[in-house]
Amino acid sequence: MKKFRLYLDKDKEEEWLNEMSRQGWAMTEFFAGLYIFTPCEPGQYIYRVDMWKDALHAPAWRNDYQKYVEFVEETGAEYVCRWGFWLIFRKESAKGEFALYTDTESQIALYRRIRWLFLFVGILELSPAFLNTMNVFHFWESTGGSFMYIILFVAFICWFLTAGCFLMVLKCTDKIQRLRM
Amino acid sequence: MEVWEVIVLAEKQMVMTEAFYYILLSLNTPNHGYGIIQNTIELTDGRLELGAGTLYGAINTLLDRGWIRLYSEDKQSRKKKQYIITEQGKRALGQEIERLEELLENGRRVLHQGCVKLEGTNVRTGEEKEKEAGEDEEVQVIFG
Repeated sequence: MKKFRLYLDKDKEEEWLNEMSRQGWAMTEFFAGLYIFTPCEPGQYIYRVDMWKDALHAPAWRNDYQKYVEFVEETGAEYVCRWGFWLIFRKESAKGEFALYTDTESQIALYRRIRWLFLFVGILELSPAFLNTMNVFHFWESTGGSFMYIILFVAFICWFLTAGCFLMVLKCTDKIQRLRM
Repeated sequence: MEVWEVIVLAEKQMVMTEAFYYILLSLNTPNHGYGIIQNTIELTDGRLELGAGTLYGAINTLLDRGWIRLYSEDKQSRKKKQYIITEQGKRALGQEIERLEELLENGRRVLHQGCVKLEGTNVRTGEEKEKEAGEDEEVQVIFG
């Protein structure tokens, strides 16, 4: 089974994957928002979405994440897939609890990493959003036509993504605050 | 600020998290990641099960600080790395144990004194005495 979903919030994504597992569908592959599921026993797996410690320091193409993946697999979990900075693990629920971060310090560190990522991507998204908006006004004044609508659409998507990223920055800040209390 | 100054400062200011404490304890003998998790579960009677992400981060921090070091790396069978505590790590652990002892001692002493004080003070309001009397009666009823 294939399902298309776009998640920015890794906690919500995790919740959804676990709900799917409860319904007898185990996620096995991911590509650009497309989740591929295979049948499993209801509740067979517990899923965890993770951003490893050095994700922001080590370039993603250096395969640094493999050390971490091996480390996690040594503890009885199974590596499912990677998407950029994100790693997805699962563990058979029969083997007991599965949590990757068990103290507040490391949970805060995790949300700090995620916050940095969204802040960075959000700022990166700002320039195409501005440029496309400028273009819309430019074409509006000169020619108009269908091309303008395409740019308008692109500009809208850029603003949407930027807003999403900054919203995630706020959400992470909120989660960190709650953990601190 | 020189590097060593930073390290000394970190050693002084650092209040160890449970994870750091139990990792250092587990590395008194050479041990690998999963072994540390198992040992911690054993020591805490199942209360503390370190997550892989937490453990990985803590091991890296301890390596950077020089409190633990790589003991052996098995390259043939799945790169299992073993770590062991260093002299510096032992010193830090010793300091932490001293700090914890102080915490415990103070806690017990103050709590104990508190009890003595409560027993010793005879300044009670009439209401309180009545309440106590009432409680006594209840107890008697129950036992009767």
